[in-house]
Amino acid sequence: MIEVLQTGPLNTVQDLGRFGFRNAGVTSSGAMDRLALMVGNLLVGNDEGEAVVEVQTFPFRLRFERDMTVAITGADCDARVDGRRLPPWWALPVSSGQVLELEAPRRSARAYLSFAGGIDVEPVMGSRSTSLRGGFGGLEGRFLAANDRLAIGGALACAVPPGGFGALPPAAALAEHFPASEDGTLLVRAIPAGEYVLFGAEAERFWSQTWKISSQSDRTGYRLSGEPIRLASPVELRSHGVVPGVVQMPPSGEPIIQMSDANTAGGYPKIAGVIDVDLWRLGQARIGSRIRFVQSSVAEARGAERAVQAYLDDIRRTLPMLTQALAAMSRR
Amino acid sequence: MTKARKRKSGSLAEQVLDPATLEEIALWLENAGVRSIEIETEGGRLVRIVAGEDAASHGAGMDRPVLGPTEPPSVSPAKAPIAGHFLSVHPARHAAEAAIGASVRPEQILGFVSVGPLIMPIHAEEAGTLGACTVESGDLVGYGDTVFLIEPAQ
Repeated sequence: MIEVLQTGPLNTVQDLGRFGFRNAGVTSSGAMDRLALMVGNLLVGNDEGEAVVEVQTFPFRLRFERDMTVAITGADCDARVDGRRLPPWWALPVSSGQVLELEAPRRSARAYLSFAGGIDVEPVMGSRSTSLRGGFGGLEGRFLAANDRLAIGGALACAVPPGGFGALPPAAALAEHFPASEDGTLLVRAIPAGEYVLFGAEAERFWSQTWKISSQSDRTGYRLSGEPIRLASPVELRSHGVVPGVVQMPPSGEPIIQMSDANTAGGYPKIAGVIDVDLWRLGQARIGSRIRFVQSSVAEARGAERAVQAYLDDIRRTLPMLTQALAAMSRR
Repeated sequence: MTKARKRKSGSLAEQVLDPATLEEIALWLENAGVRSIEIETEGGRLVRIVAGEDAASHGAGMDRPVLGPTEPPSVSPAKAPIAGHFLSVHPARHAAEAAIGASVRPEQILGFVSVGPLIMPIHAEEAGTLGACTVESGDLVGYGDTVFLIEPAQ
């Protein structure tokens, strides 16, 4: 068990998401930064998709009620265990009674807490993700509150070195596969979508201008602010299926990017779709930060996906080698 | 190492010290851009093979070598926990975990060694003042190499 001692609102249990029920209006949910979730799980010896705690409001504190192994990935929250400072993207064994604290990160938005054995909440429609809108999944379909206790599944003997260890963060390990700007603006790759042509020459400014993530942004979607982009002539669309990553253009002319808790259907024209492999970076973008869309292609998206997969495979493969080597050294 | 083990005759040490095997290993090392390799046998003896010119006569059959330079007795080393690339600053941070001249506590993380996609911590073994970093960030370090020097607290 772990006990939540302190939390802000909207921190939830998440896994990779709930798929196959969109036709019944069920949003996919799932972690906003799926890559951080997967790396955290691999570090503690879990399957990559086990349920974790997504922390997006701070400070956050929890107490371990038994000895276990925990990983903290995603945003650097200056995590501390009993006051001892930890590096980001870190896993370590902890003892019963120890307290983990996360402070508000200075960069990035969300941290992920993975526990060896995973969070043992009842799966709903094949997923442990919390659907806040539906009020199901995760812990009683709601966000965490102080005094909540979460069961942790049984774990195999974990080979995490006692002093802890970490993973090279994807931003560093995969730097060459993700575009970077000189001024720190997040570059998000996207592919023109269904109604793109209706925007005519206006569409050019969708790519060229820098958009700000407005305060009306959450796990459902990010509303961007900037110079409006308008259709040459208004169109009426029937409602159609929507998935995370879809960039809609409401009549205001300021785009909405659908995120993890995306609506399952919508009627606004779709100007573009953010490539799936860039969604984790968007999931770490903070309200008030700036982004720019970069036109991409299916081939480029697939290439980046292969690089991410190779990075995860590399962690999976290197981990047993590292623990074996450390065990051999400790026998000296 | 595993290839040598497949050979039938003699102890592992004898097999590794066979000139033909040595030459083969030296070639692997050279091809892999590795300068030296240390092999531990069941008996605890360590074999160090150095690739490059005159490899066979250089290090084979050595006793456990002294790792790292010798420090003045008043200074305590913080050593690399594994072979890999030394990182003075965590790749997701802008500043080192402990500044030179700062006081450090036992078990405090001072720096890192990256091994492929994974990162191991370099810990302070005792309390004191972080005196110096003896390795450039990015350099390859071996197991037990001294990376930081700590002046122990009185």
